[in-house]
Amino acid sequence: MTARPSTKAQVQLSETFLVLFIVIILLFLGIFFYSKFFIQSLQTRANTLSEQDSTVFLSRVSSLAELRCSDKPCLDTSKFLPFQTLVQQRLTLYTPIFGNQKITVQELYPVPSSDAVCTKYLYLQTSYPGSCSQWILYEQKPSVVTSTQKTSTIVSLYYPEKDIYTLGRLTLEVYH
Amino acid sequence: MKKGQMEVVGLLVIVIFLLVIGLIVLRFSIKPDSTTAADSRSSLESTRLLQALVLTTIQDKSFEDHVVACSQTASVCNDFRLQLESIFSVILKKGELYSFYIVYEDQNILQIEQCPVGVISSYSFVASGGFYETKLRLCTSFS
Repeated sequence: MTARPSTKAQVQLSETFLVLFIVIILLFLGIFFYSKFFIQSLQTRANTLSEQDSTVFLSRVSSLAELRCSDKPCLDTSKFLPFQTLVQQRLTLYTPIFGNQKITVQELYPVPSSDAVCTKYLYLQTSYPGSCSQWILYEQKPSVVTSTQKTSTIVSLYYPEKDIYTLGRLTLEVYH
Repeated sequence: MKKGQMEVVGLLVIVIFLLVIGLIVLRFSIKPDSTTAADSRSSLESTRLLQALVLTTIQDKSFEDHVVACSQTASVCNDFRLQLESIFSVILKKGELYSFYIVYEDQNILQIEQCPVGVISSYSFVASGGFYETKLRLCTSFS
């Protein structure tokens, strides 16, 4: 049995299939690259929006009546520990507002002599405010954390016990 | 249309298709970052920082008292300037540059200049009958 030689029509058909095949490959490559960059730009946009949300939320936290000073744009440190207790007592009220995140305040200036987290015990020490320099105002951590997003701002901290204003950092750590 | 002409047209279609893909890739890869968002963030940060700084008690004296003293006696400004530099070194991120000015009667009575370009925030206050303006510019260090 011998193979029959290809006719001209068969050669043209093969050419057409080859061109079609190349065009389809190029089409898929185009779709692949477009979708890749489109998803990337969506992720960037999502991150920006999430950051903006956190910034707005930071402003909300620093203007909460439970935390802020009565007459100046600062946070009243004497309200921090009562706020912690209030959050524990009314978890059902605050959890929907704050969600899964951690809100902390860290004193920056004057440079603190202690890095301890403030508790009722440390607050009652004669060395206070030198006895501690951090407050965990709220923390609700989900069982599984895939990523965290940190946003912070500088705030003025008021110590009514000494009538002084110091500088601190209010940090929002959002758990995803 | 002859066969040769048809093949040229087909080649042209493929070239145009490749060009379109190339343009799409370029559009996404060289798209500049939004400077508006970064500027807004920097402006917001410097405004908050200024508001907090103006309230701060520095060595048992209020910020305003230090500024008034600085406007009256030039030698006081040097000590105040050192205090401010130590504050900025603590509160700003490592490597973040800034420029800070205190203006009284249209004159800079205190000036710390690390970067000349960027969004500037200002905060004004009246103390001892005088009008004072503080200005802060935060700049990102690329070094």
